[in-house]
Amino acid sequence: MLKLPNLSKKSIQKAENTNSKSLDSLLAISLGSYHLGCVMGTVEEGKIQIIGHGQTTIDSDDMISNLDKEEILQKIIEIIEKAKSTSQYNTNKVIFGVPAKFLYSKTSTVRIKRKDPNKKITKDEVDEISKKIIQKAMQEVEEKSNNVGGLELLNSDTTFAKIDGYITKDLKGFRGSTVEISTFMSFVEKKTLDNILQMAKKLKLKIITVVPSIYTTNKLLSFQELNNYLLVNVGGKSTTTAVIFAGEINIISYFSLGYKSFVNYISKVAGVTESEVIEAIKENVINEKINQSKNKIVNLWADSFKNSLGFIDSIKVYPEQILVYGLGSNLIENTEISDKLSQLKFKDVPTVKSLKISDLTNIVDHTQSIKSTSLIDSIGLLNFGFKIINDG
Amino acid sequence: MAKVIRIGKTYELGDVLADIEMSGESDITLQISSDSKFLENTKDLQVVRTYAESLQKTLKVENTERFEKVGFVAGADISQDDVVAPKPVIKPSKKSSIPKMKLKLPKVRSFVFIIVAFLLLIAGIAGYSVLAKNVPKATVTLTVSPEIFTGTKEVNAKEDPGDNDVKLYKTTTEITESKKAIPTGEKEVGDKATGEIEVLNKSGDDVKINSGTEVTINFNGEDLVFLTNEKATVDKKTEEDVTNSKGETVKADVYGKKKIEIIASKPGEKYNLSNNDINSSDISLDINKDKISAELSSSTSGGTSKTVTVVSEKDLTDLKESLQTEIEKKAKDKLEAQTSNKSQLLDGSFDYKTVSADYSAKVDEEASEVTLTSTVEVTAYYLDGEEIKSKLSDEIEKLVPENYKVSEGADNISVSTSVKDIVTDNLGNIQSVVVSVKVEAFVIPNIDKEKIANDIKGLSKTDAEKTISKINNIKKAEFVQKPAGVFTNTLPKRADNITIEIKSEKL
Repeated sequence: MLKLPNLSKKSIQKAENTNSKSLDSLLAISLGSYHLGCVMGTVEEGKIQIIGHGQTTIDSDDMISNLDKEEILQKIIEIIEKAKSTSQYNTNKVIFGVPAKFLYSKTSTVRIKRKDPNKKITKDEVDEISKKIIQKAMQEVEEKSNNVGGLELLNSDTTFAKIDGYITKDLKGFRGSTVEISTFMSFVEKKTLDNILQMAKKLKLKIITVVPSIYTTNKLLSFQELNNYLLVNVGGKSTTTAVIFAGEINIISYFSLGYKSFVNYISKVAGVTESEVIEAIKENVINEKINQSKNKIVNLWADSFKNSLGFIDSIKVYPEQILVYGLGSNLIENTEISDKLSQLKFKDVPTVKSLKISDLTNIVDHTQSIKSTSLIDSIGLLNFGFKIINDG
Repeated sequence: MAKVIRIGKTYELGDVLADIEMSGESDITLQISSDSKFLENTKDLQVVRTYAESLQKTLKVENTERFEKVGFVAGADISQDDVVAPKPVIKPSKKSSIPKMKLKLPKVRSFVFIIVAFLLLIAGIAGYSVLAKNVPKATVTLTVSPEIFTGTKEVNAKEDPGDNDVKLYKTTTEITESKKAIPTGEKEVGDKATGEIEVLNKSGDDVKINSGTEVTINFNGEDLVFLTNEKATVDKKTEEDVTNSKGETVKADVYGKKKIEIIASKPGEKYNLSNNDINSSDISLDINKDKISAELSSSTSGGTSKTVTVVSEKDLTDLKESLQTEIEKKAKDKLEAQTSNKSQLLDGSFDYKTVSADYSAKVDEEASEVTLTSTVEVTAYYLDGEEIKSKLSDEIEKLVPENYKVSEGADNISVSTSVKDIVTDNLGNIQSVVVSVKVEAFVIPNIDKEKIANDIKGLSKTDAEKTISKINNIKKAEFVQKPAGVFTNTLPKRADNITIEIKSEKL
């Protein structure tokens, strides 16, 4: 069992013997079509303490529809056991993250003329407006997606709020005549949510919530000084981009290219085994043969990245800071993609920066073994899960 | 020769891309098996298309479901549409299994009769076969459900358009509307109390007191303000001879006195004061206090009050805003009615100019209701939908995906507009409008009628329906066969006796 440097035995004992909320532990699992990640953590002195983690790969294009399959259940059990194996903590509480492929995201902005401008805005008034925004958005998304089984709201967040043009985070207590609220919402098909709930029931896990993975990752970065940026998760089989303005997600977009596609392509075109490609990528020792095919697939990635942003009508000028993370991010990290993006409008020359675990200031990795950024989504989920617990 | 790449139930995009890269052919055919999720999510196809385009290769996508049905495996060369399922060949047995029988031959007349009857039977069977093959005809009506493909394009609209612009049309109307509201203001009204004070001048100079000078009387801790109701001069003090208690004549100061009428500053009963309750120290005048003092020489009386409803400033503002909202809606309806139904009124281009606004009551006026009658001149700009369609015909063409066509019918392409930016001159007059045009085209797949007729010839209606149901976007198939009541169990065996008609389902 791994020694936990900063968590005293007393703390651990206390966690086992009391129901102290601050010492509760939590599991966070991000579900992907190729990659499953799990971290286990607790909170001490206001910081998230990671006390275990596990990750694995699966090969299922429609993983969420197959959550009842023995093979996938076994994989989930494996990563949970792995995450639990490095500490004395034990919990069945879990937060799940859903990848963008299974989401319908929408940002709605409404402007409302208030009947009585002299009356202070109350929580009830804000709640009522939010309720109407969500209902309308859900209806629009349902119509657009031709979804027959119905949708469920996963999360909603105010991107910005204005009262008579004055921007504020919280409208409550203001007086004024015109309210403008922009809300980002994510919906998921009911059957997707049902599949996750059924899987949790089978594994005797207690779900605290299910949220979009990249949404919680962005919340993790809200501690930083960044305001406007593109957050890009180069995942197992797809790449997800969240466009962030003023720290809040404005829109999520994704396309089908990720780590596994890179590996298979390079292996086949360069005529080397997949293991050799994986090793070369991991060690960053890339020979000429692999480099040529790597450049080709990364070029396609950049084209697809540009196309995925080009489809977004609502954004005219993109933030130039591009933050990449995820299983395939180290292939993108040192790639010059500015030329590829020249057809899109940026305020300045776009720059690509790879997120590092050390960039996450509110996180302490007691295992000292998280090296790659493939677990960032799970860490984001963990952070968000504790926020929910602490907010009651 | 095209390179055929099979995409099955489990596939990896990297493998597909590598196969395209390594293929020497410039034409690539992707064969998608029926159990593959590849076509369910357009994201994979987008990436593959992007890659094929970058390599300048032509990509063709085939759903192999229909071929699988007739026994083919995706990945084989199935580029010929007229392939049919291989049928087992039944070779005739060299040795007949029919036992030899000895025939007892009839007499010659009977024999001729039997021969003729046999020939007639043969001819009948042959005739029936020919008729069954050639006479029955069928009309199969396929109801196709259109899909919507959407695109947006920004265009510049001007009243005097250039080659790349669309024409911006101006339209004007005048709206007169009235609206009532219940006033919410309150005001105290009534009579003001009046009385009299006597002012004493202790100085050696005359003191002049103007009408309207404030006289504050403190009663029970509350300062009640009165105003002098007349202009007055209080004479200076004088020295007069007076006799003291000892009987001596001495000089003494006699203060100047003047009675002045006062009136309360506001109506109300509380201003009715008895002079017995008020001392000189309770009264102060808003002039040199060292020189004068005053007494309430007669009680104040006659003060009354009541609260009445009056029109407030906010009532009028709210009424104006509320009426403006109604006028805006009516103006939009009216302008929409007076422009063609193909026109696109531009939301951000509305301009409202108030010609007159008459309120039935003013601010602070007592009233049980207030009415605003307003006449507003409304100007707006609009675009001609048909002109946009014509201008953007190339863009619309690009919207229609491969193997699809725009569904027949008048309203199968719709355009809607929203204003992105308005360019004005120094006076605020609109010069041009940047408009985002959203085009929606209802498209249906290009259906190969000849192939369908071939696929369903000779099949039972049930089997034909099954075959047809595999084709994307076909919702329903209806069969009408002729002659009625004869040969109706199966469809005609000749494909050219089957007429396929396509009907588009209304959205």
